[in-house]
Amino acid sequence: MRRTSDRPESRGTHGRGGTIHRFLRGQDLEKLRGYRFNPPNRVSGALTGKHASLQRGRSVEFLEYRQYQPGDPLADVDWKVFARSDRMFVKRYEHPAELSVHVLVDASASMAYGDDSEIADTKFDRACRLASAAAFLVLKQHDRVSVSTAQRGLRKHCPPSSLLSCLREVLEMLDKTKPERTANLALALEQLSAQIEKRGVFVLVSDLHEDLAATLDALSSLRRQGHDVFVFHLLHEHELDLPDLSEVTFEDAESNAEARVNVEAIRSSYKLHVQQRLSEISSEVSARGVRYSLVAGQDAWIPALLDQLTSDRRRS
Amino acid sequence: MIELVKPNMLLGLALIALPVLAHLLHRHAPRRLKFPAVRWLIETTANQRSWIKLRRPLLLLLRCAVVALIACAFARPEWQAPSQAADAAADGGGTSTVLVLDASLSTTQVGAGAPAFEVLKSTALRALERLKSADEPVQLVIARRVPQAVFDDFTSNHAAVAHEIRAQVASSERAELTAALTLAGKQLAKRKGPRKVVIVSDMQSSSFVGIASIAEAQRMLPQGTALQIEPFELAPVSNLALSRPSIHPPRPQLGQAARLGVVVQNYSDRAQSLVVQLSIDAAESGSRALELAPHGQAQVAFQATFNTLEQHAVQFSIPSDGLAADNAAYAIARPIDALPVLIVGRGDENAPGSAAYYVSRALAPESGSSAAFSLSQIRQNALTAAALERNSVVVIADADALSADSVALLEQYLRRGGSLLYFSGHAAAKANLSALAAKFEAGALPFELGSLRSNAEKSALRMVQADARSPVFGEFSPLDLAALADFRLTRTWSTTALAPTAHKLIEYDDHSIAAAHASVGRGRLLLCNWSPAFDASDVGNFGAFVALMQSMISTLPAHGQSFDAYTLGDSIVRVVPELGSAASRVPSLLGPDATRLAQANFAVRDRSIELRLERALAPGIYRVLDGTKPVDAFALNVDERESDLSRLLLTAAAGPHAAAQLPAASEALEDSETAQPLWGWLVLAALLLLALESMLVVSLQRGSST
Repeated sequence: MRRTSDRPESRGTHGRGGTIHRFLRGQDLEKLRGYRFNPPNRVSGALTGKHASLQRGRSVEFLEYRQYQPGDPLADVDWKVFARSDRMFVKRYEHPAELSVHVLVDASASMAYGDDSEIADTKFDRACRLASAAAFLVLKQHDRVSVSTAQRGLRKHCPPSSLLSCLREVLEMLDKTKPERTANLALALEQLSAQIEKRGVFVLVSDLHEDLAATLDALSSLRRQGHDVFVFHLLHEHELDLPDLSEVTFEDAESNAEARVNVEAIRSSYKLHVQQRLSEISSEVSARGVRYSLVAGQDAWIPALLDQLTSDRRRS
Repeated sequence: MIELVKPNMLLGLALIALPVLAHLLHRHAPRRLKFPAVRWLIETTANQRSWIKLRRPLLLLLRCAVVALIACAFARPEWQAPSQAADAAADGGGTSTVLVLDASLSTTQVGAGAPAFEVLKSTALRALERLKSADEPVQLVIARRVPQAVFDDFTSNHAAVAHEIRAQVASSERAELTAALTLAGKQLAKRKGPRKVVIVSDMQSSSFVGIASIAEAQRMLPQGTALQIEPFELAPVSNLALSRPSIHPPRPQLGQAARLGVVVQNYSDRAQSLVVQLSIDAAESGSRALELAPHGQAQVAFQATFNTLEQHAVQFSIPSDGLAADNAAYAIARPIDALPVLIVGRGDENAPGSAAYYVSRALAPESGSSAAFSLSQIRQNALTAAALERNSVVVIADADALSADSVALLEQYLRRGGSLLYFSGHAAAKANLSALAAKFEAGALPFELGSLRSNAEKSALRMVQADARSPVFGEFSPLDLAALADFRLTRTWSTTALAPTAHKLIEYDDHSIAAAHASVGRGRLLLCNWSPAFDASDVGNFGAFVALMQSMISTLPAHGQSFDAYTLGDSIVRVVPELGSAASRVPSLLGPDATRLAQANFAVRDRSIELRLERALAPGIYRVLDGTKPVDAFALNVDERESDLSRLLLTAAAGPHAAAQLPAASEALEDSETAQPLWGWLVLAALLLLALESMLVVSLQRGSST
């Protein structure tokens, strides 16, 4: 497999079609135009009072009225409305705090699978594009973003920054990363969360081909710390329906396991099994309050990103 | 116990290396690819893994087994019954061998200066020497007309066997190898252990009756008997043969021209020119030159007149060729002054109105004297063989139920070539004819009698149709034939359809058969569905009856055979006429070379002297002497089937039309029926394993293995 650094457009220059970097291509930016980073299910305190806010004080931007519920502070009751209507409403405010987004990209050897031709399109390339686009969206609205890679734990880390210039550092860091060895996502998530003080948004881009239980525990831990967590389960099309080959001995990229199969003979049962496993993974991830999205296909990350992490400014 | 016919073919087992090699090469063929989701692949195939691991070794095992089975099938394994194997072990392992040596007349042929029988004896000696061990039990069977086992039991004294082989001489008789094989089988049936028959023969086709293949020959032998046929190493011999000498009429009348005939057969593949010579009483009497096409046949006839009542020796001859014995044919001409006719009746032949009375009057109108017929009469209960054989024609005019002895005598008379005229206008006719017909094969009678019909005078049957082309009516004018219609037949039988081999002479106006004749044995039977008796018809009143009787009697023995001719190998019984002055003295028998024969066995019976000769050694004229006076003579000819020297090519498979070269002498053919061949089962098993292998391959393509 060719190294990513050998690619002709690997450096951050404006190439054909307005390409900034091979991980931040012009055609991709075109599709992201008009969107802003706004994860739809950010924890917004549906059960008021259950979790104490880390922030003190009161915001000044009115958001909405909500009917009073027992337990709501009486100070929040709009007595004027009560006087007029004899009904108790609570005023809610929006706190325009700075958003912190932390993107963790799986850089294990299994992510290196994919097309190694001129139009390089490995799983890691796709993951990097997704991470770069997310960082771009976050930086564009002056929020803070950090991008890290997981390789036997946290390997490389671009610290949180709201400066657009840090995007170059992110791209260079990703460009220099070669997917190899194992990721150890659980350790990487733990190490990353230890460096963060404030609640934020965690975005994990991985194929999850490792100890899933440990990873789920780490994700649960993040959720307990109050973070919003999004998992982009990134797979190659071949992982869903096997490549068009006949008799092949498949070697695992990260372990010594291998399987000699006749692809055509096993394809149907394999697809069925994979669907079953994906359904299980989706259920287990979602059960921990983590948003799960399957990304399979060359440009499938774009709609997944838009669906999970953005809102249309023109509509909002 | 399993034995291999071709053990060398087991070398084919080395081909098992091919599937093993292919398997080893195929193991490293698949492409290798790094893949992220191997864990899911392994999970998918986890429940099939143990089976998958077994499939490839199982496939290899199946392929090896198929190759092994096919190699074993080519080795032609055969199953010998355990009892035979145990018998063989108990018998010490020696093979009981029967040498069948053909000594038929055909082995006297001479090809390229070498007598065939000497060649066969040399071959037999070589076969004896080739036996596996020097003490193997051997029996020697000589194939003659009656095959003979030389030793009482199998002997391990091969020197004695060799001596007996050298001492054998070829016979002049026909031999059937079928009978010799049957005798060999009987001899071997007493033996335990391995058994073998070695045939040493000129392989004359006519000697192997009903045998067209090795398998058919082996059916005559006990189970598990190997059959070995020694090749006949003699160049093919061309042969011309004389056969079927005949004298017409068989008993020519004095001064009457007789026709002496013989059949000449060319058994070679090329046309032949030859001269047939006739000699009577050793005097040159004529010759005929003729040319015969390849495998052609011709009848050669000479005219001769005999003026004395003595027996005349007739000899036909052709130039000598490869088989000398059939270059001459012999016959005895026994002239008579009148045709001897025996009238069998109830003894009332002199009573006017009886059938015998009318018959005798018709044959001898001039008060018993006739130049053409010599009449004698006998009662039905007084029939003897001598009385029958002295007459050319026997007429049964009136008869009650015949005794079994009388029926047997008539049977023998017909078999020897006698001519019988039977008037069936009496009630016992049906039973008599049925008893006689039972002695012969089905359809011997010209027609069967149904029910006896007594017709009133007005409804009496009339003879309306006669076969004018028959020799019987050769001298009849149309008016004479029309005169037959004047007969009124009041007692007749209903008749069945004419037998296929019969010839109808006269038909009634109700389309039932009035008279028909057929060949029975070597003789002829003319059956008349009426009786000249007064109470059965009025034929005695008509002159046409006289003409009809004389014509029927004189033409009836036209194709009859002479009583004085025999075939070599026949058992000869001669009734010598009563000797005059020296009745008490034993006569002597003189052979063709004028030497007295010791085999002659004479016995006095019924005031006659009966000669019984079990075997004669050479063809020719034999004479019975009373002192120095010849009192009887008969001719012996070779069996014409021995003249055809074409050789049989036995086929390995059954089938009368298939032909193949004989197996080599060293190649013993096992009995395909008794030693059960197993190769077919092996091939079947190989095919089943192949089918299993195909199913496994399909299954393998649907699964995977690690």
